[in-house]
Amino acid sequence: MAETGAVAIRSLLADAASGRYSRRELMRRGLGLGLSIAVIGQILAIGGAAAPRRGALAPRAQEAPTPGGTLTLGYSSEPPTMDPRVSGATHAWRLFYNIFDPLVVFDQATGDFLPGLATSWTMSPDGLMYTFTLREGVKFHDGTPFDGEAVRFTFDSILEPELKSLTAIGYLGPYERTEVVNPFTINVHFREPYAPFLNNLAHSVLSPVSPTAVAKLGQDFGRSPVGTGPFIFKDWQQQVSMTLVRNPEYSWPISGYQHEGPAYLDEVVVRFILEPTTMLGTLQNGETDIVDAVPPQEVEQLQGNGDFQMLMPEVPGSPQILPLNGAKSPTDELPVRQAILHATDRDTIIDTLWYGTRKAAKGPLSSPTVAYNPAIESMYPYDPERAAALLDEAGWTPGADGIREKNGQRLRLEYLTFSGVQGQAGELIQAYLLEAGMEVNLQQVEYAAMAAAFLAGDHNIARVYFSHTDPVVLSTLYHSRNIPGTNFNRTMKPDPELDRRLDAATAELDPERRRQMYVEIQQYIMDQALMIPLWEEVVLWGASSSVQGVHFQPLGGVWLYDVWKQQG
Amino acid sequence: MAMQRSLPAGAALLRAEAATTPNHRRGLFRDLLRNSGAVIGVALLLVVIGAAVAAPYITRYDPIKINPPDRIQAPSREHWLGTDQFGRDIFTRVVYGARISLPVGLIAVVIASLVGTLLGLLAGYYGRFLDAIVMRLIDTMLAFPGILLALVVVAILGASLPNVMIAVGVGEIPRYTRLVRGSVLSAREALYVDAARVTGVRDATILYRHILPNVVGPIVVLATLSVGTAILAAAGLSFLGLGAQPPRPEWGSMLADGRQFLSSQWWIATMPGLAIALTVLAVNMAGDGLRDVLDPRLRV
Amino acid sequence: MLSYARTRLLLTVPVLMGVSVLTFMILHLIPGDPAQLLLGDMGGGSASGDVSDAAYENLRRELGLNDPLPVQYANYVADAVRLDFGRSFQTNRPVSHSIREVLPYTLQLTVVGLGLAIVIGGVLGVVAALHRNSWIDNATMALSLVGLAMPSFWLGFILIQIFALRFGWLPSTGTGGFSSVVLPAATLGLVASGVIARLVRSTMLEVLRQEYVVTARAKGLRNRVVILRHALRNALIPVVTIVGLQFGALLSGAVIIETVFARRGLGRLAVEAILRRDYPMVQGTILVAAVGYVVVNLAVDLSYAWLDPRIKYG
Repeated sequence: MAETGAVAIRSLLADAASGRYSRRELMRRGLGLGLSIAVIGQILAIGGAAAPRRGALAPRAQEAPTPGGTLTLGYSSEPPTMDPRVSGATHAWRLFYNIFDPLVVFDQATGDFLPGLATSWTMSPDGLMYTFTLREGVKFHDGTPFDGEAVRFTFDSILEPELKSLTAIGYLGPYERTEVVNPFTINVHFREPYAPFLNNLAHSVLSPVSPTAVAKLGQDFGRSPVGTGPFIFKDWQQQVSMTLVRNPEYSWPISGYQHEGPAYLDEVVVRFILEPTTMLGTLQNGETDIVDAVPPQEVEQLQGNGDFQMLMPEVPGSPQILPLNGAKSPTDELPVRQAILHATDRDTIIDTLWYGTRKAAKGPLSSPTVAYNPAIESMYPYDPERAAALLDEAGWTPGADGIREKNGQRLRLEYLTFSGVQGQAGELIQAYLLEAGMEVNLQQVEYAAMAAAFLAGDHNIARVYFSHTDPVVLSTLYHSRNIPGTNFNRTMKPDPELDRRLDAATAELDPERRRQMYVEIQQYIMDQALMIPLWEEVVLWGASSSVQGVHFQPLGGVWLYDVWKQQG
Repeated sequence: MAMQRSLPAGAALLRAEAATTPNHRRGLFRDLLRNSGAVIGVALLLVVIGAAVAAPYITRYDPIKINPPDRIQAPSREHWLGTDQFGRDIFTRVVYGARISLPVGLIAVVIASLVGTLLGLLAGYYGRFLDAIVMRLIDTMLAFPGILLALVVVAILGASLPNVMIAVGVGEIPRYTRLVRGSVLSAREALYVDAARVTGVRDATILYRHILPNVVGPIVVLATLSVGTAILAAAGLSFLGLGAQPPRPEWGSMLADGRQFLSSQWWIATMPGLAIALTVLAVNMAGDGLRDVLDPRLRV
Repeated sequence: MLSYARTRLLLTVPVLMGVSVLTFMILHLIPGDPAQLLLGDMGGGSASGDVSDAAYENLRRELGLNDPLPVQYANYVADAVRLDFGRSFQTNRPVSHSIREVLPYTLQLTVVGLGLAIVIGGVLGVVAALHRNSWIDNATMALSLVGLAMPSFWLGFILIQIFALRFGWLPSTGTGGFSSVVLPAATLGLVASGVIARLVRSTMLEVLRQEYVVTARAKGLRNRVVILRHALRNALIPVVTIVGLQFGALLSGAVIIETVFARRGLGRLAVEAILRRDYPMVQGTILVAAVGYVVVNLAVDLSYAWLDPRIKYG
């Protein structure tokens, strides 16, 4: 039995790697073999990680990469600016990585930090100073040599008010100043210990920019960015496309890059296509080679077609969540929040919404995130009876029309979201909560109006999503200082205990102790049922089968450096 | 969509402005019956109204309750028009959708025609200063891009069905004002109006008794034709994500949501699309018939 | 004629002022904080370590959002009269640059689309009028209604499915050469042709009954000459009116078609700016669209004189 089981599992593994079967099909077969969901998840991950999803590709993958050619990339969003110091849009960051090299590279698989433009680093014992040794012989696209002065310039300029930095300024944390010890050694000083710094450096928003180009272009640097990366920015046609060309002098591949010398592709044309229906069409009729937003219900069909491949990197950080307002009745009551979690069959909801391409989230962090706590996964199973019991105990009893009441107040939840898949998630959740005797007033409004309503605290159920490679993202979403102003904490009720824990974890320099602190914070957030976890984000890249050498950045972007196209 | 919002209305405007003497009421229905387009249009419209009224008797499914196991099924004996992404019967949703799309079109037009007519009466009758103010306001509204106007109205008021009606209605106001003002200007000079004024009849009475009846015909024609454009405008708002609220089976949002399935599960978007097209077609055909009857100069 | 033109031109001033005030008022009535949106997850999820309050406050100050409203309006008007709409909140690029870049593409789509509509609609309308009350008349008019009755985005998707995906004859998206304008212009043209066909038919019928046409016919001019030289020319007046109205409205109104076909255009620029509360961009795009509308309508009014010499302006 054991042996036949092993054989069956091995064949399942092979099938997963071949990409011939859908995740649901594999899941069904795996369950049939008596495997746990977690194990099947592993198998599926193998299938996802092995880039060639289709048998036909496997032998060809042995081919030597052919340099040359133009890659046309369909992109679902147009970056507002290409200045990494300014941008707040993840879509733009994925492009930055190809034009700008980061100082440090984050290895998602091991959680290690590897050399980028910085070859080594040390931290002072008090955590207030990092010393970096920089790579020599690196040049910006405009010929400016890369050195410590360029790094100092980049960091300092981020703090200038006129730059209006959106994200990089937060990524510097309690940054004080940079001291250039010699051209290739710098000391970065902080006002207080800041653990996420190395992680933040691995993001393209802190990548060094050419000081001469900034001096020359000023505010317009974001329209003609100059970095040290494997691709040179060529031009940008608003609403249409952006063109990058190979940097012929590139000879300083950062960690993770899989070859030496310049990139394979001559040119990359990024075409902005905002309508998903149209997007798939361009891939199918050859107008694009690779697209970043395949409609989920088409994933299976593309996987089953030898001319195409699906590539689906998972994105760490917070999953898509629906924060529950702890300052407004009835979600100010813990039992009501817990009942909401038990009353919604989120596995079915997510599968319905995403056709098996995304998995239901269980807690405040996505499973690929550092410090992910698997213990919280079993806390809120779909259990309508438990939900009913919780509400009964809290005094919410069914009224004449089935909606529960307490002291004459109906159990009514204000749920604001925007249209599209978020709105559809809303419809499904509304249906489940109604079953449990909770009335949901679901309103789809445009994004900006929704954000304004959240700030005013008009909601019981909100929504928010932030990706990140470090669990510090929990501060963004749950720290009380983010309730006013930016309002990224939409649980609305200040919790001093949670604030204290989040602050301590941000400052903790010992990785293992820090990990443990975040494990506990996740537990705490779920004990308090501060939000409904929805799904873990995945980027649904679809590509022609001739596109080779794709591997992924930490937030799901493609490193274009190693990509090449089969000719003919 | 702006196209659809304004074109037919504009056409009707030109047409209707010519018709100032609707003295043909008696033969109206007989004339209408003789117009084959109008008969087909009215018949189609009756079908749609019938669907709206009798929805629960026509279908046994629930238009709102989700049923994931049955989702995305092709048309079959059980589900004549197939099922949508949540397993709801599309025929049922299209039938119930008539209860939303028709009122959206009608109420938007009522809003537009009431406000627009009032402004037009005042501007045309009192002339001078008031006229100048009203007409500059109307010009401003016309110069302000229609779909963007609807978009900001929904953004300010929030996306809900009544607000969609208002948003669509507001954009249609200028056409009524222009039409009515033009008719009033010519009616004002008529002898009987002068006579009434000289004998000291109150302005309001003159407007109501003598002027309004002269402009009712063109307004009715314009209103009929713009029900269709209003329905299309509401669908356009749904496309931009600012239409009716879920899970309401509004045709525009069904069409917009269903577009992602266009390449392989065509029926999801096609059925609500056909429902919109047929209804607008019906309204326009009926409106054409009405116009031909009310505007004898065009009966050739 | 000249004084009429001058009066008309003067009348556009209050209209444009009205549009600018209306736009400004609307922007500050719409809920939504541009600074919060810039920092937020609107683009589908921006990554964030921790957003600093200082960044948020700095942003509000630098964008001028903390100034009193009258000051903001005065700044806007002072710059706008010099055709300077400031820099976009989103892209930090001068709004005028963005508009200048996309405007030709919107014009192209509008011109080709309406041109197509005039040709299709004109032919259908003339054919119907010449065969009035026959089955040909009924059939062409029914046909013209179909384009009118379809939501334009649906028609667009259907055309993409057929001509770009099924047959692969034309690109489904883009802003490249002439081939990329065919499908969007066809969508626009099919929708617009219905109205034009009906308009041409009815004005033709009206004109054909007028004295001078009857006279021309009596004088023995051949039917085709009568139609082309006399009837059609006069039938053009209402058509020009409608086309002019449309042309103006489409400068920003083609947003749905631009979105469906991922085309460059003023409409998309405006809608995206509204959704992101990019105040300078909204103000700039709407004002430019309004100017376009006003100018085209002026041109239409003046063209009457040429089309119908009987019309005199005092």
